[in-house]
Amino acid sequence: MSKRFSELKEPPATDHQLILDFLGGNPEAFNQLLLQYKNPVYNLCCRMLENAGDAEDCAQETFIKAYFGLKGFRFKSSFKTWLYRIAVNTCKNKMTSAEYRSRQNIIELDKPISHLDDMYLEIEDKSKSPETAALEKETAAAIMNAINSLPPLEKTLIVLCDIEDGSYEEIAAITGLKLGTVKSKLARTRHHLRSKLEGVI
Amino acid sequence: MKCSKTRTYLKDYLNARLNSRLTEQVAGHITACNDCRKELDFLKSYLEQTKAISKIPAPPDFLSEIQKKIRDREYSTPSPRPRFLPLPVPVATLASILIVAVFVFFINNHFQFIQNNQSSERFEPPSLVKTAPETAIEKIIQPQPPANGISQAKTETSSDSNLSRADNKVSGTITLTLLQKSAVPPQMSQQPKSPDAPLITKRAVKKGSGQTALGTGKSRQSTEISRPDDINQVINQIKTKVNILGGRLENTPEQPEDKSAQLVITLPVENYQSFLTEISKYGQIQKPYPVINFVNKTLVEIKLTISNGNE
Repeated sequence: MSKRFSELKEPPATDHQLILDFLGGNPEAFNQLLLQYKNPVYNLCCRMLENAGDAEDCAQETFIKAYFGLKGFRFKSSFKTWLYRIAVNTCKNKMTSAEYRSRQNIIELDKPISHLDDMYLEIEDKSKSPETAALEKETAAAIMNAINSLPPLEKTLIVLCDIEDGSYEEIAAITGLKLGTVKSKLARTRHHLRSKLEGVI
Repeated sequence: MKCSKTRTYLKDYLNARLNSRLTEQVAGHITACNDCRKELDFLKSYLEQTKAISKIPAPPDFLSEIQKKIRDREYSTPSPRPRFLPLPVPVATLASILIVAVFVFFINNHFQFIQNNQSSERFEPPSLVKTAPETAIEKIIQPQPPANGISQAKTETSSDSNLSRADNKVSGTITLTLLQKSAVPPQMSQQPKSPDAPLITKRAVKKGSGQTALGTGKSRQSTEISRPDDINQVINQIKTKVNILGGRLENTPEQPEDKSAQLVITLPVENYQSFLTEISKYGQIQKPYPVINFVNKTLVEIKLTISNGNE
């Protein structure tokens, strides 16, 4: 099982050292960074894009960009924040592409209620009864549908904060927004979700 | 605390991340505000549900796919192009201006060189265009090797080298073969249209327009020619013509005994055509005519060789 966003807070020296090793000519150091961040980045892309194929493409593109852009890394932020910023921007570009939007429209016509794979809605706690698991799965589907209906920025904030459990400071660094803006936008978006999920939660 | 402000702290309030002062303020507002209390209840359930959603692991071949793509891009990525001007903007601007200036200077000089070459190859003097028919001049300057056996016409095609020494003078050689008085009927000089006229007259009639170097039939008709008996008389008459045309005789020819003589004559360029017309009355000018380039020249030096036709 993959780690959560908040559980990835390894000592900065580790990432820092791996980056220095990579820049010093050791490609294995990047492989270690890749192993460490592949699941959270892939999960973030899945939640942002709702499609496994697009998510895989964007996650791979994120690491490729990181590989070729690591020479320009200035250590002003953590590697995780830097990597997530790349992932978010890559997903945003994908979401705003005409090809993605036209495909989304076709999918919505085909599956107006829920187009998420079962894998996306798996519930972590396997000890729950099948009825409870099914109910929670249905609730999770409703939540994800509500989140997916949000505009890209609000969706990004909700995914980073409520699904990936990122802190406001990290989200501000990833999205480039001010801390107060992040907080106020999240509060308004949650209020909006509350109206959408009325009767479900 | 307002509702909007309180709602920004709700998640931290649930996770107990607020300090005591903010915790008290949020708790006090929630107690008093029904809507914020509902918001808090929703957030609590919502966060529990989202936390329960499992994380999706990356596919098994995720790592190898990335490594493969990185390798492909590393091999396909072209080497970084050298920057055209890896200089600061002012320096680059000055360098660009300098390059353009040098280029313009080179192009300008190149075209001037081409124009000079072309103008030295072609003769289009404005003054002669006014004074003489253009076609006649072009015929005069056609370079041809001596062909017939009347006399040796030394074409000074090397006059270009002389031109470099004499800035405003050009030279050429003309051979004039005198026609014997017995060969020309007396009336021919006045009736040039007769079919029995000698070659010089025939040419003048054929051309009609008179655009030959041998003179026009009209001028022949209007001029009474007293054909001299010997070469000395011709020389004397040519001297007179040269003086009339503003030229001068540069040498004193030896007194030939009806054989041949060479005169060196300097004339203004604009009277060269008239001179040819005048001497053509005494005989036939050896063709081809010398190549004479009149461009930027004011004087023409003519080496006129006069010979008897019965030699």
